[in-house]
Amino acid sequence: MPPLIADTDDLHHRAARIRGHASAVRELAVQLARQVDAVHWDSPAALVFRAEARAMAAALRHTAERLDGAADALDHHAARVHAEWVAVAGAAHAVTHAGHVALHAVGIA
Amino acid sequence: MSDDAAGVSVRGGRIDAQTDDIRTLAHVIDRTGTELLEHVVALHAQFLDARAGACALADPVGFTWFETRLGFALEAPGGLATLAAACTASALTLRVAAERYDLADVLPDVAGPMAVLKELPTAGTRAAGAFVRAGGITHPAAAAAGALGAFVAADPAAVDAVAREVRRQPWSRAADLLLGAGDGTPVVTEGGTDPSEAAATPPHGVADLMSGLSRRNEEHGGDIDVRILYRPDGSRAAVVDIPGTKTWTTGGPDVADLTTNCRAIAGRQTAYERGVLLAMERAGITPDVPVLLIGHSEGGMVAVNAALHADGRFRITHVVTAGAPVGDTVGAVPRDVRVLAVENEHDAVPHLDDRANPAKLNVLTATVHHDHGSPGSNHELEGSYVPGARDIDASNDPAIRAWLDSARPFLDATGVETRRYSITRGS
Repeated sequence: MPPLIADTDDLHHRAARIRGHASAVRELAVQLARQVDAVHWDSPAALVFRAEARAMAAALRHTAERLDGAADALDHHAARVHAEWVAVAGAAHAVTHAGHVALHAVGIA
Repeated sequence: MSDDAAGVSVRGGRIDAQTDDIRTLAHVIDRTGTELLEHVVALHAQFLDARAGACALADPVGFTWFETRLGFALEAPGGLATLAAACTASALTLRVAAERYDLADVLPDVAGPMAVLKELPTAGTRAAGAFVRAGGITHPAAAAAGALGAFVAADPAAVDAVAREVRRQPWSRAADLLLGAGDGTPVVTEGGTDPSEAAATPPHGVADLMSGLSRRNEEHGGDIDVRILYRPDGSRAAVVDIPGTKTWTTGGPDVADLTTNCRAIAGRQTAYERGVLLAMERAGITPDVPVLLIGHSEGGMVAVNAALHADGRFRITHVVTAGAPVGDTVGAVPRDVRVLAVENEHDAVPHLDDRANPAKLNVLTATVHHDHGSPGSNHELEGSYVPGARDIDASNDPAIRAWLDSARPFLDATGVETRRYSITRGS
């Protein structure tokens, strides 16, 4: 594969890494919610903090979904790129083959 | 006041806290923020670099869609970077609260009656805000002792007010931490009058307004128009075209960047916005001239914020946004400013703030329907919002007709001069 042509396997690996980060972010959200619930603190500020912490955990889960979405987009992109390469390679092969046939026909090859 | 040796209970049983627990929680949240930042750094490496150029050529839509989605997941408000900053700020606030609770347990006897300090919760709130903005996260307890020391002795419950206040605008605070307290000074360069025929044709509908914005959108980041309209009665009006994001970098000379996005979505002033107001001044727009601001995407946020912050310097009567996430800010626009927020149903960008625009008398959200099958196209001015504006012009909806009637000063001109300005971010 020419150096300027990106390796679509690499794109899939990147997508997998992004999904790994998404999972880790989800786990952080779970841990955060658990720890906030466990702390002994009752006051108006504590109520605010717990609400904010729940919102933070929800935001983390939402962001994890965004990361999964980015990973899906990258996988789709890689699949489309691969399909394009296959098509281009097929066309190039056909042209090369036709050239060989033509040269053979005129006795050059 | 309780003498619970294990923790602190303050004034009338309103507060019951194990301060060690609070510090532990601060540590947990701090660690969460640190881990999030590590994820941000690692995920930045997943952006496709120059080696993927051929991939971008093979599938430009898919390439752009991926980069956009990852960019939003990391850097947009609600993205990992801002959540990490919010965690840091939360941990800081918790530590301040714990410190104050401990001090509150010992100080009242020393401080005595401190009714004179009634105003101090507000001052303390400001101090806490400044403290957070200054990024004082290395030694929060020590800094807090200086910033908040006095008033807590008078009313330890004020800590709750501080906490509540500091936490009130998480994205604003996170943006402070992430992007610094400011984003530079605008430098406005005059580009002369646009001599093109299109620029010399006055607008007669929303589609014409949108087309003018689209024309300027083709230029560099920070390029705007101030269109001076000459009306049949001899008076003037002005339309200001504010294009959207041109780069996803931060803090560089291009004001149409991520820095502006992060600040503008939270309603904060930006160099872009101040540059727009400066350009209006340079164009000779006086307070008696009605002004319509029109912006796409980031430009829409900047337009709304300019209407919020113009402070009587200009008579901004109308704002038009196209594909802009203004749900958090547009509700605060003065009642004498009439906003038309145009949103393509198939465009994700107006929903980045996860908040619908408020339904107010002066805020009209018009949803148009133009699906081109890709997120980029659905957000485009020329492909989606100019046709959407045509739909609006053709609409018989009473609210839209009323808005168009109110916008007549901008739609009945017989002549127009389009002046170009370029805004960059100086130090």
